[in-house]
Amino acid sequence: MSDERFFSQVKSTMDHYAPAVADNVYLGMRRKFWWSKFTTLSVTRFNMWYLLLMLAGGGALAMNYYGSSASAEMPVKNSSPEFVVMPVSNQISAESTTCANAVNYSSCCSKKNENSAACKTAVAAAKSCEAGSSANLKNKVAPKDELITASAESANKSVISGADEVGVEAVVVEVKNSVEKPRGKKGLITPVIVDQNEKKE
Amino acid sequence: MTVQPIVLNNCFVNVMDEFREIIDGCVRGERIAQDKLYKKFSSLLFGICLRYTKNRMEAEDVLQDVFVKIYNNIHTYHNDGSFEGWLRRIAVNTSITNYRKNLKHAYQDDIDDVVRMKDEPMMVQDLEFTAEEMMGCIQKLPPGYKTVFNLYVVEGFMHKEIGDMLGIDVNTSKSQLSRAKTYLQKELEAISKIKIPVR
Repeated sequence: MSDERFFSQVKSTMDHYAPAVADNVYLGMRRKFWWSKFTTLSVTRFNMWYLLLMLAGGGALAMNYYGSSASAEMPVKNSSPEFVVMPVSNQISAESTTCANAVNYSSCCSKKNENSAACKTAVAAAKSCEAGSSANLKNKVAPKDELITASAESANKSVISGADEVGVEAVVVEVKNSVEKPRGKKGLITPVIVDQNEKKE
Repeated sequence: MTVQPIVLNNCFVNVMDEFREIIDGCVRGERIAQDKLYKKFSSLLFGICLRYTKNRMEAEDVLQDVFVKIYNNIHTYHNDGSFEGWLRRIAVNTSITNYRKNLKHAYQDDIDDVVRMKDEPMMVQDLEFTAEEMMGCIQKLPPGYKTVFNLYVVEGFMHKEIGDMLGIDVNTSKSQLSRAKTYLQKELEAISKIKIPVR
């Protein structure tokens, strides 16, 4: 059999061969067609790109809303300095004991020894204690306007200005400027406060 | 003498009108028109897909892709040629795309069959084979041979065009056709021996 004859025989047999198609093919084709329409970019009908755009917009809005409410709840922090110096109540109480001792010692000073250096110092300390205690030591907490900000170098163990005469020693409290939200934790972000004195210990 | 061409012409016009209606409906995205098109041409296009694939399942998968392509691109069809021809071309192109996708595995098959092949001239008796028998034999061909054979013999493409379509050399196309023919004749001879037992 020649090539041409063989080929024409095959062609004539196969040319209009049309076997039956199973019903499930139609359903599969419909599904594929729907998906292709859904994934194709089109202005006139709802598709995947509109959905993505909506999701992205919704996400951005949600981020904006939660972000602003979280920042509103966050405490005010100093932007430039890294350390805030504030007194601690137990330190103040220790100093007030010193004050009381000074007052006691000054009361013991007689006319004979009132000119001595020790007596002069004790009397001065007692006076300053009385003056200072009315202003600062009553509440045993430093008022906000007296909070002192200090640079990183000088802040380790500085003394509150204006409270020098009181002899209140300041405690260095470190406030981290970068606030990290732990993974998987929902809700508001709270700043981490580290007590430098505790660290030293 | 003058009546017959008019009748034929009317038939042609009616057929074209019917197609035009379906095509316009499909362009508008009407489901009824899409279903009509599917019912009318699914079997024919399935036959084409079967010739290029290994089995029914793969052919069904390709047929689904063919119809998705047709529905999505039917607006590009203008009355510049046969509508059936346009549909057949989409089916062939989709089948070739599917063949290219599976080319890695097909290459392995071809090597195996090259080893097995013998260039003996086969003489198939002048018998009538049914389309199913022929299809069974064609489907047994390695994918590369099958694609070249179908494109050359049934679709009527030249070796140059086949080379361009499949990204192969003209000589490769020729040799694959020759091997496909030998392979197919061998298979058909086996069938003919069953049909006419040797006395």
